[in-house]
Amino acid sequence: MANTNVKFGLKPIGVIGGGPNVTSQYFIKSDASAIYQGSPVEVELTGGTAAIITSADGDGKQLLGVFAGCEYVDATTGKLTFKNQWGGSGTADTNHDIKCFVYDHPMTKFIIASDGTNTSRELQKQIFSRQHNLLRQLQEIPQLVFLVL
Amino acid sequence: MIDISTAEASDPSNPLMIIGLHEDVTNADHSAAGISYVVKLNNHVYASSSGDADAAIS
Repeated sequence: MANTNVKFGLKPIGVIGGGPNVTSQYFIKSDASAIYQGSPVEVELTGGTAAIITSADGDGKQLLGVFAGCEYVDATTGKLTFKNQWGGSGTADTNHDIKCFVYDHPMTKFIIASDGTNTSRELQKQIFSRQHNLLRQLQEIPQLVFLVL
Repeated sequence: MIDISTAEASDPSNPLMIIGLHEDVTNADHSAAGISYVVKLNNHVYASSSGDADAAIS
C-alpha cells in the first residue's frame, strides 16, 4: 500500500533521555523570509541581537532548532497576533518585538518523512545500532521497528 | 523531507542524524517515499563548540 505521508517538516516527539518537548523564545529577524512550523531554523547576529532566520538548504550552518510558532503585532491591524508561521518581511509592526518559539533542545527527537527508498544496508545497520542504544527509553519501544537483513 | 540518499554516518556535516524508524501502519511501504524516521539535529548550535566563544577552565 502506498504511503500516505506528505511533507510535514520536523515534528517533535520527545527528548533523548526523557522529558517533554519544550520551546524557547527568540526574536525573528524582521526581514526574514517566511518560516513555517516544522522548519529548521538558525540564529544570526543582527546589530548585536540574535535573531532567527530560516535555514537555507545546503548552507552548512549549524541549526538552532525547529520553528514552532510566533507572536507579533500585525503591521496592518495593529493587533497582537499568534501564528504557527512567519509570513516574512512586512508582516509585523517593527516598533514591537517579533518573537518566535523554537524547539531548541539539542537532544530533541523529531519525526520526518523520507523522500525515497532506503536501500542502503549500511545505513540500516547504523540505524539498528542507534536504536539499540535508545532501548533504555522504555516509552519509545512500541514506536520502534528494526530492519535486520 | 529527509534526503535518504545522503544518510550515512561517515558524513557528520549532514544536518540530521537518523536514530530510528517510526512505526505507522499508513506509512509502512519501504519501497516508496514517505517512511517516517526519528532524527535529531546533528550539528546543533548548543551541542558543538565549533565557531563559538568557548573558554578553558583555569
